[in-house]
Amino acid sequence: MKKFTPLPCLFALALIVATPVYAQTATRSGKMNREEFRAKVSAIRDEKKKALVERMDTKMKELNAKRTAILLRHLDKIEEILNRIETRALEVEKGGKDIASVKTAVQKAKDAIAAARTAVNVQAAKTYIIDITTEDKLGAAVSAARTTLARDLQATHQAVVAARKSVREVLTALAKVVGEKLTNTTEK
Amino acid sequence: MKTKSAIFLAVSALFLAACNYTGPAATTTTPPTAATPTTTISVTPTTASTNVNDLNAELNATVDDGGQADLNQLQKDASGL
Repeated sequence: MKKFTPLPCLFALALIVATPVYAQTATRSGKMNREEFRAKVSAIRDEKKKALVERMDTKMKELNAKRTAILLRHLDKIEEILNRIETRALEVEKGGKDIASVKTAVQKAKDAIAAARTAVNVQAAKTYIIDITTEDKLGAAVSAARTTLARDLQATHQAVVAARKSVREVLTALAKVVGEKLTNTTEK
Repeated sequence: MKTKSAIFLAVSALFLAACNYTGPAATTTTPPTAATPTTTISVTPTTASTNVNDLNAELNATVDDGGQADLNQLQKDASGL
């Protein structure tokens, strides 16, 4: 049996202890929890900056809640409109018209709405914690969190835009079937 | 005699006045609830039109800028750091 050598063991232990734990982007990984954030905020010496960081934290939370609530309301309305289009399409079908193109578009729209709803709910559950390292980097930390929130909100918004566009395609298909002219259909 | 009559009349007048007194003048303010007009909440029913252009207009009503104004304001608020 090999003799126990403490030197390699000590070296390995020292290596583990000395390895720096790199701060991951808290806003993405959620590694920094709210308690840690609170502790870091209370350690900020500049009272003005401390108040501003706290305010930004609250505002980001409120903005995420506000925007996701708006997007969910939009999705509810978009879904309701799709249901009415479907009702109209079924009436048209009873009249003997072929609505196969409408039905295909309806299914695509339903999938797009479901995907958008999932995206909005995921976004609503996200938390954005400002990754405070040092006091001189507060601006950069807040900016990083804000940028991440903005990017995420824009991505979620785009999912809702895609859902709306898919419903508009259903409407276009129905308009073709019934021979009605659809106006003002462009969306940025 | 004249003095006695005068006193009697004065006392009588005071007595009659006291009998007619009904306390301080009543306020004429009507209770606020009575004066407040009934608030009518008019609810516009959701249109149930299935006209393609009406539906399209409703779809357009769900368009927004993605909260750009709020995000810009957030950026301004953070400028003090």
